[in-house]
Amino acid sequence: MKDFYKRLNVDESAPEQTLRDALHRASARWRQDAEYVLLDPKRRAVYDRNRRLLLTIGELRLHLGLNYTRFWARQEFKDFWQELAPAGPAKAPGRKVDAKMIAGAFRAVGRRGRRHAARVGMGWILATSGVIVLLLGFLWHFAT
Amino acid sequence: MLVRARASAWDNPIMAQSVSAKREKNDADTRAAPAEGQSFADLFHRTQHKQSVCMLAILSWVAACDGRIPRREQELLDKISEAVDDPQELGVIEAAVRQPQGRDLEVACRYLKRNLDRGGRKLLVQLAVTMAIQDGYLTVTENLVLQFIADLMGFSPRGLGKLFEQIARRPFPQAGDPSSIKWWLERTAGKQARPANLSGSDSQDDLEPSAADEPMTYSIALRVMGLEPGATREAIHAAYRRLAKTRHPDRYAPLGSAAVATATEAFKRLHEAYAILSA
Repeated sequence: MKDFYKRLNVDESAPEQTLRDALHRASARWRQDAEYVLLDPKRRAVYDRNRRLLLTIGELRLHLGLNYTRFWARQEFKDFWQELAPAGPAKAPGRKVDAKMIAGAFRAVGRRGRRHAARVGMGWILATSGVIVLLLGFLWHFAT
Repeated sequence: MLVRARASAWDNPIMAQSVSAKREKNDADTRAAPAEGQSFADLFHRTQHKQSVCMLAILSWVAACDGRIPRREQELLDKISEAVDDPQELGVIEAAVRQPQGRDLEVACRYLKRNLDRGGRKLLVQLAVTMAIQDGYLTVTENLVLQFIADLMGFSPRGLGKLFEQIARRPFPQAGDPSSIKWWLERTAGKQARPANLSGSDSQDDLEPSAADEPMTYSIALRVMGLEPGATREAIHAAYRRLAKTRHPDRYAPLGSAAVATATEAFKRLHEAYAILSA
């Protein structure tokens, strides 16, 4: 189910004219659906009830640790997934956090800053290899 | 009126009135009335019957999630609240039947998840399914709530499907999508194509009054028992026996008085359906 209000960036109690204005700017992929549902009072009432329920369920799932179960982690509920807000100041709009960025942040920790970050990758490989060699050494020692 | 219903779409003023009447009846109660605006979550920690009131909150949610409380479901909730027959607990019962949501539901869900054993969890899901299909229909909202409760109690989608089939004697339908034109068109076409007395078991009708308010007729009885029109006497008897086993109130005793009251009402409806079909 799609959350039209979220996609249109309007409030649920928005009057029809506000909705119509927002619908003009909506993506063509789902605009027809939104118009069909939201511009008819009966359909809108049913849709609103279902949407409110999904918002409640989304919130409950977030707090009860049920966000990634087979019932919920489906594309049809994507608009209602809720994530915990990250701590700290809000990031600049449009900037996304991805795995690469997090890895970069960890690498950048150090007195030598970014130049150091580039070498940490190799450092990890060397450290891991060292541990493996040590373990093999111990095994060899005890085996003989 | 002692009970102030919250101004939300989930309010249940009729239910609040009935509990209010009960409160007036027990006015000799020495305990002070709960302060206005106190939620279920606030009152929950003081109650002795935690499991029963949590159950009541969850079942109230199931009953009212489709935006209406038909007379039959309202009577059922009334009986459930009477089952927790302790004048000391009226405050929390009021809060539980006021359609708790958000934080209140979270408290109830957390308690039940932590305190029910495996058998109890299964019984809770069975009871929620029984409550949802009281009128023979399963709306989209009821479908979504059942999925959530099953997930909370550790069931897989397949497990819920099997359990639903045991109780309703039909497969668990996929939740519809009221945000798509396709769903609305299919729904309209389906309704027009079927005669009224054969309207499908999963028509997911959100606009019309609930069948739970209708007097028991042959077609409703068929729907309640999950049978097709023209079922033989043997088939009716076999279905009744099978459903009576899964829906018998004694099975729900471990979940407390609220659960037993719900199951008793559901069982009465099943018996009523059987009486009509076997007449």
